[in-house]
Amino acid sequence: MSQEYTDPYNLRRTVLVAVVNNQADLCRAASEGWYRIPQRRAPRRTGADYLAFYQTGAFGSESEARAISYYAAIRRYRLLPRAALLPDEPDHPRAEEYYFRIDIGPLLRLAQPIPATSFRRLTFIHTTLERLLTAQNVTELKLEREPFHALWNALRANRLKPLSNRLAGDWPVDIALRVRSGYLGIRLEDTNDVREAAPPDRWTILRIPDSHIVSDLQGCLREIGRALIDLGGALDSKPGPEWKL
Amino acid sequence: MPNQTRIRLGFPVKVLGASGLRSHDSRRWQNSPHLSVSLAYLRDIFLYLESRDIRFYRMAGQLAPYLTHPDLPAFHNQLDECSTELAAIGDLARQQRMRLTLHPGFFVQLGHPDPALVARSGQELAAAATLLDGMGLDLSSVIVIHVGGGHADVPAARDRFARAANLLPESVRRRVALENGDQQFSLQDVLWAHRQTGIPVVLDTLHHRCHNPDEIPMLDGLKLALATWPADRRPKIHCSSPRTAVRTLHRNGEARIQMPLPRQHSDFLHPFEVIDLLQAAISAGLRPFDVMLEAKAKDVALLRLREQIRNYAPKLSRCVQ
Repeated sequence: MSQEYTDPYNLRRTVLVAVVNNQADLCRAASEGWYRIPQRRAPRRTGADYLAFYQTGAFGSESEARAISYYAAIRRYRLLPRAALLPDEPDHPRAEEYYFRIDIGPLLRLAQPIPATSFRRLTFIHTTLERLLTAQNVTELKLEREPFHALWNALRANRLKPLSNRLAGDWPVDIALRVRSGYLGIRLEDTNDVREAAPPDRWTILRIPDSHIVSDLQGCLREIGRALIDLGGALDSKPGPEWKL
Repeated sequence: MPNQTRIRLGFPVKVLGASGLRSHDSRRWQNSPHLSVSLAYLRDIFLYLESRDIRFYRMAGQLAPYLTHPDLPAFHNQLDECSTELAAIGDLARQQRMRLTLHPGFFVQLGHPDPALVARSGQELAAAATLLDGMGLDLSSVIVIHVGGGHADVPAARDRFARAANLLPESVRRRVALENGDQQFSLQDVLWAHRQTGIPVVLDTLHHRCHNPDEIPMLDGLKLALATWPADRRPKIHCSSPRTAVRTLHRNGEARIQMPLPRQHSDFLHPFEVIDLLQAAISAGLRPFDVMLEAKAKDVALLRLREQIRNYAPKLSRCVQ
């Protein structure tokens, strides 16, 4: 770790980890010093002192695929229409939509890249610089009390056995529960995720916005409970008191 | 009860109920902090406040870092640079029916004998007013200030304050509200300043308890303060409880016990005091107002107080948001 970051004041700094799935975006970040996030699909936490880049499997055989290798200090946020951000694409269907353009300083390479050793679907992660500089695995970056952990712990507290990091066909789900007719997959996302695809056989997908978990965890549990009843009940529930939904 | 007449509870600046939420870009000038980064943090806070149904929030006084620092001109254009982002965050605040206020640093002292400091205070207030205007916020978004130091002559300081306040541009003065102090500038003093300047008074209940030489009962004080606000602007008050627990202070490697000081804010609010005050205000038919809770536990104290009001005063809880 460089001397710069031994100061605890710096270590408490916040980091937004963004997912990069193409070379062009990473090159633009390195050469032009900016990255973009559609305002409509921005995570609940966008503010940070640093931006780090998780490079997906789209980076293929490169050693940097499925890992975080680079980060940079955030200089400024701008809100701009896509057409202003990318003037070469004036006819893009989302040309009029607003994006956060995040201006960053030079890319810094982590002394120890952080791999993702599970195939849990990754979206934005809000973490601290200290964790970024010490994590051995992407999962260690997540701060406690995040919606995933809140729901996971609540399901466990209700004597269910949630499974993480499952794929429903090509559709990654955050939490899966085994039911009599197959699986109930739970995707934690905000409603601005626009991807649509039919789930495969034996899978039922329930979408729960992160914000709903934060504001009404009990309501989320009731919703999951109703889905479980419709699907014939959970298979892996542990013996114990009745589930109180 | 309609939302417009419910008493909104608010809290200042720091969010403690969710990890990692920052109130502003606090990087030092060498690291180029920027208002736009603060606004990104503010957006995240607003989304948190929405999830907690909190509709009243005091933004960080240093939202635009070094904005008026005389030696750092590179920071002076941040409001212009962020006009789009300011408008967007203002839209979000309006969408969430959020009342926002500001409380600049203690160096803003219009009653100070040093003209240079008074001029600097005026610049700071003008910048704060421009920021609120840039967000498109209505005049319920006020900048709360103190008279400043008494400098051994409270009436003279009061006069200086009134003169300096009357010299502020109208676009700035209309955003300013004046808070009573806990050692000098009692409620009567700030009411006097109101009569000279038209600036409305924010009653700070703890300050009033600590410095009330005229022995004005709290409810009467509240009536007087609320009456200083124009009919079309919703008044606000500050409410806090004194610390009652001993503290261990650590300095130079030594631990020292400090007895509780009545002027210090406690972590949480005394629920029964707040309930009594709000019930008395409602029973007396006072106009609706909002309550900024100044407790060390910030939003956590607000949520706890809300829960306590629900438990101990269910009828009142229908009037509180």
